[in-house]
Amino acid sequence: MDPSQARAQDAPGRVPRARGRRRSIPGLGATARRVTEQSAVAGLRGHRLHRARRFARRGLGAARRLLRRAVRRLYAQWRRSIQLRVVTATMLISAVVVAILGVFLMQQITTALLEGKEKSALLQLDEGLGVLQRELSSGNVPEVTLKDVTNRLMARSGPSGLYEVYIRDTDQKYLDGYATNEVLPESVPERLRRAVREDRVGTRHSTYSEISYIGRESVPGLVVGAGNGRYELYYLFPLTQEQQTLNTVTHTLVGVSSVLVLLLAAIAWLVTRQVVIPVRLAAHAAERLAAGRLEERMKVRGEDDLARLAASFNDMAGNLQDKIGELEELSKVQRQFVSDVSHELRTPLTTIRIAADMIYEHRETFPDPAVGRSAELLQSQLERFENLLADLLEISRHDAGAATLDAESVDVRDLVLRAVGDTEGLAERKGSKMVLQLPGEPCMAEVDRRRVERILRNLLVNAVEHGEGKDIVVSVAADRDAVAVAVRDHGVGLQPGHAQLVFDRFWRADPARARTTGGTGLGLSIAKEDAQLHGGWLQAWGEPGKGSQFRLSLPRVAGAELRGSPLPLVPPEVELSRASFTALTVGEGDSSEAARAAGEVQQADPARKDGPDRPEEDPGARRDDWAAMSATGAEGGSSAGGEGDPTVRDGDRS
Amino acid sequence: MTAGGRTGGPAGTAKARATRIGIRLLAGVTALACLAGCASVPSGGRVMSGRSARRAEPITDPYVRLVPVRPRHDWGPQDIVKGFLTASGAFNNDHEVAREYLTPQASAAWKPGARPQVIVLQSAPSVSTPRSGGTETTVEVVATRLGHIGSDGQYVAQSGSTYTTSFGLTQNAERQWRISRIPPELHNGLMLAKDDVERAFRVLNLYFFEPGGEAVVPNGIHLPLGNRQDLPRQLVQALLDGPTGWLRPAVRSHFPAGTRLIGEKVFISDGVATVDLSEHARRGDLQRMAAQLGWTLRQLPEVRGVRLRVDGETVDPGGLGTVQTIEDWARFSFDTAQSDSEETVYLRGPDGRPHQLLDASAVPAGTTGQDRLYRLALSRDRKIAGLSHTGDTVYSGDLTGGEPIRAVLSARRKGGVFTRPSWDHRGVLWTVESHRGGSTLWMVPRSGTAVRVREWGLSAHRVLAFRVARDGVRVAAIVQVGGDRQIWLGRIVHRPEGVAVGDFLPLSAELVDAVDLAWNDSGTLAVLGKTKATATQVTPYLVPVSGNAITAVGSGSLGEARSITAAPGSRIVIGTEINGESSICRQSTLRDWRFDEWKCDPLGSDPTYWN
Repeated sequence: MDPSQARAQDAPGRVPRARGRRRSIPGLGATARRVTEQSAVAGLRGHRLHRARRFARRGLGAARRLLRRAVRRLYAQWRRSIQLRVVTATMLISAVVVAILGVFLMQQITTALLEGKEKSALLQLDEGLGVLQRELSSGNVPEVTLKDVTNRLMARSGPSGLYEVYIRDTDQKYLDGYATNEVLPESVPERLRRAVREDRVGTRHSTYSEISYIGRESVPGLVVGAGNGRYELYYLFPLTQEQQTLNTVTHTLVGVSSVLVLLLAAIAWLVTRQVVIPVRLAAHAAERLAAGRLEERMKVRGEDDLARLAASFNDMAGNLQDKIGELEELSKVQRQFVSDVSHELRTPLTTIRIAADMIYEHRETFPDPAVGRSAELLQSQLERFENLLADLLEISRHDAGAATLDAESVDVRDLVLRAVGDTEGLAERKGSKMVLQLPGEPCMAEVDRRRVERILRNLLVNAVEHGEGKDIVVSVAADRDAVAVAVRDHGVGLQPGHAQLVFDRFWRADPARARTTGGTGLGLSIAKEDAQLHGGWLQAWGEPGKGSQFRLSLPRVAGAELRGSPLPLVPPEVELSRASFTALTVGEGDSSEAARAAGEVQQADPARKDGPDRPEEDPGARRDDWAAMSATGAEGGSSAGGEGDPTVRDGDRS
Repeated sequence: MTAGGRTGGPAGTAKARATRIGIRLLAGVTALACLAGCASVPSGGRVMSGRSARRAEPITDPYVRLVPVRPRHDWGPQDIVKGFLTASGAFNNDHEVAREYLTPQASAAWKPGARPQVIVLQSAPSVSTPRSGGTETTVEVVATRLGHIGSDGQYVAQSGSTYTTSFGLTQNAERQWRISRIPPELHNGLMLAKDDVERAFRVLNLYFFEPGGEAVVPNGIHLPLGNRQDLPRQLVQALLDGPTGWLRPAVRSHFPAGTRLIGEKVFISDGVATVDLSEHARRGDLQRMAAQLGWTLRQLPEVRGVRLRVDGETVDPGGLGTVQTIEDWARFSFDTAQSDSEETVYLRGPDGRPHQLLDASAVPAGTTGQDRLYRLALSRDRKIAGLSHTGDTVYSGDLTGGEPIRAVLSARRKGGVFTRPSWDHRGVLWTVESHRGGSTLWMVPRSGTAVRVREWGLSAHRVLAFRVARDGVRVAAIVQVGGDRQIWLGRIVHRPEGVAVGDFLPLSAELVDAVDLAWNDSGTLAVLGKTKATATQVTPYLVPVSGNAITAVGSGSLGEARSITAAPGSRIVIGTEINGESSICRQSTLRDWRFDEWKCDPLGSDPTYWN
């Protein structure tokens, strides 16, 4: 990880700790105590209050955060799970339906119960009226009649308190009739009394009322009444039993409906599970297939729609695997072919070479200067052919996986110096100056000396070839885990999107252009393969007119994973001038992925995609530019010779 | 795999599916049918049996309350007094309505309380017209007085005297008449017609212990029934207040003086009444207190057990657990049958020797020789007593050997005749010697020497029958008063200077010409007599000593009934003379005692259970 980032993460953690320490400094408290002794108590109280409030606020905040998190999680779950949505919807809908049904049912039951009660109450009243009539017709004294009738009616109500009776004799002046047990006459509502009083044809009246008792709670009840002019007879039926029945029914209904709703939810869960689980399995299988595990297949159970899905998925996977296998096979054959061809070409080439050498040596002896010229041409093209063949063999070795790493601990600076020494002659010929920015202490790394040198040489040659004679800056930096070498030129740069393509085999920015000079077209590819063999990166950056930069990052220990690079891919001066791209380029050192993204944004010169083997186009013009640039390059170089530039310093510190 | 799944063939799978659907359909139809069956009322099934409700106590009967009216504006003094007298029969809320007939001063002075004294009248009193006009007047009230209920609940009959009293009235600011002066005897009481008393009062028993502490003695009191819910508290309160003045010297309450009921109410939950007493109760005999409470509260059908607390702390009297059922205290009563079967009846056989009555025959009982005993009496420990033929000598001895039968008492006066002897539970023999001028009470303790009871309340009357209750506290006698034979109830007080039997109260004015009586149980007498309404033949009646209504026993002809005996849980047995032949009459079952016909067999005379 980037050390600066690590520090930045560390910083906020440290701040509150420091604050806490400051609060507990004893000197401060002592001062405060000295200043106002009287306000100390109040202060303490205030402090406590304040603390309590803070605690409360903190607790509230924590609770709110927890709640919010739970809601968010639930919402995420809701969005992610079909099952949850289906189950919830089922529960809600079934709850509504059950509630409506329950209310309807309760109404029906209540009506039926009360109707039955009313019917039986009116029958009882009829019977009571009959008793009253019989007693009256027997011609007893009215007072005795009233008492007898009451006693008789009372005897029928029984000890269970099935109903209460209230009888009135309107002719009695000094008493308002008789009531059974504890029932209060107020239980008969005035509306019923009026209806009975004003009735002249002996209709029976009934109403619902609150039956009140002496020393007992009043209960809802049904009151029926009738009169025959002189006597008024009321029957009061407490509806406690009915209330109890209704309560029981309600409880039962509520219980049954909740069980029903839960049951429906469980059924929905089970059913959706049957659908969702195969779909999830398919998604997993597809993911694994996408990750490259082509042998992944789904289980096919039964013959339903899901089974068909699985079967077609499997068919697809099988076809894919076959096609990819075929392609791989083909590519292998091709590679083998290339390797074989290279090998086969070598032997005749050696013979040709010997012959050509001989001819070349004697070129002066040919009478025709044209023949001598041809011999020179033959010699140079043979050399190129040999190089090409060697590169082809190398790359086919990489392709075949036969390339091995011969790692040893090396100071990367030495390798850089040697590679620069090798290419200095070429640079001088092109008019470019090599500027080195090397750290003061050794940058040791476990690398394959031969391969790294080859990479560096390739990069340097490539830079010289496209440097248009301007300065070439080579920087080296190291941190705890990695070392990096960046080669910067100030040539035409790269077109957008070409930063990746430059590493392709035989890639050229302008396909129409003939390959006449320079490398084989495989140099950068091999360099990339070599870098990857080390577990390192080789990345390119370029913008039209601003030159390009190639960066090689290698882990210090062979085979270790590379997390970041000590050097930025984009040169710092370019970055400073283009603040708007800062965001995009900051992370580039962290992963190859980010680097690739950055590289795509960055520009590259289409004309130099071939790397070192590209022919020069306009050496004169390039040289002019180079001269102009060399001054700045020299300045940069001198500063690098001393303390190094900021980038290097950064790398040192880690 | 896919191919493997398909090899089964579509035909086979379809068949299996069809079968599965068929099974599901069948299950669904079955479930529906079951549901339909559940939803309807059953129209068949096995017979369901259940016990009938517990014994019907009068207290469980529904009762009728009078609904009073408030005074009207146009009522004169006469109406006001009549309205007041009627409204005072409504007890709820401290006579709330009746007080509206009074001036505030009179209302403050009038304190009938929860257990008022009541002057019982034959019928509603007649109210005279006011004497004079003006703002003050006096109204005279005249009625026939039947008796008096004291504030302790004891009813004392005062037959047929005319009662006259007067109310003073004044007109208030709204020119409404209000009662300003209540006669002094009504300051703590009421004046109610007999019907009102019957309606508003219930007779309930309080239970106290006889002096020996062996058995409980019922003490009937009249309680105004204002609120049935409050009755348990009223009962416990009355029990704590102690026995009525009449029984007070003869019994003992085991609640220490000052014991109060804590709380407003006696809580009853699941049939268990919780009685919380103040800490005074700690000094008393918890077991007997609990027994008194248990016996008193068992009259309420809703109470099946009692939990006694002292000062909020549940106690466990006698190791019976914190909740004592009614049956736990059965041993404190002689009313509890000794065994499941009925008691044995002894009688004087045709040959004059004591016999034991079996199902349809009598077999000789006892081994000793005295075969001339008439009017037999048997004690609890199988001692036998009887009279000589002329009734002037009392014999006593063991029924089955041991102490031989011998004369223990002979008439002191010329012409003196003894009543049938009566044993109490301690084995003391009691009998009354009646002569022309009056009577003398004799008791023969276990030592065998007869003692004359000095304080004898009926010494001026002839006594025809005399029976001591099994608890040894109360006595019942048939007394010749003028031309009438009345049933009187007295009590035995054991004083240091001797035994006193007195304070006789007349019981049930309905029965006339009583011939014989016996204690059925501690609360009822079985009496041979006639009612005033159907005075043709002497028949047996059950007479509650508390003063409740009497009930006729059995039906059919009895001949000339001479003697009666009864025992708790046993059939009443009557000795009669049918066509000059001594016969024993019984009913075939105990269960249907009210209407079952009497069956008489010529087996002997003078039947008796132990007592």
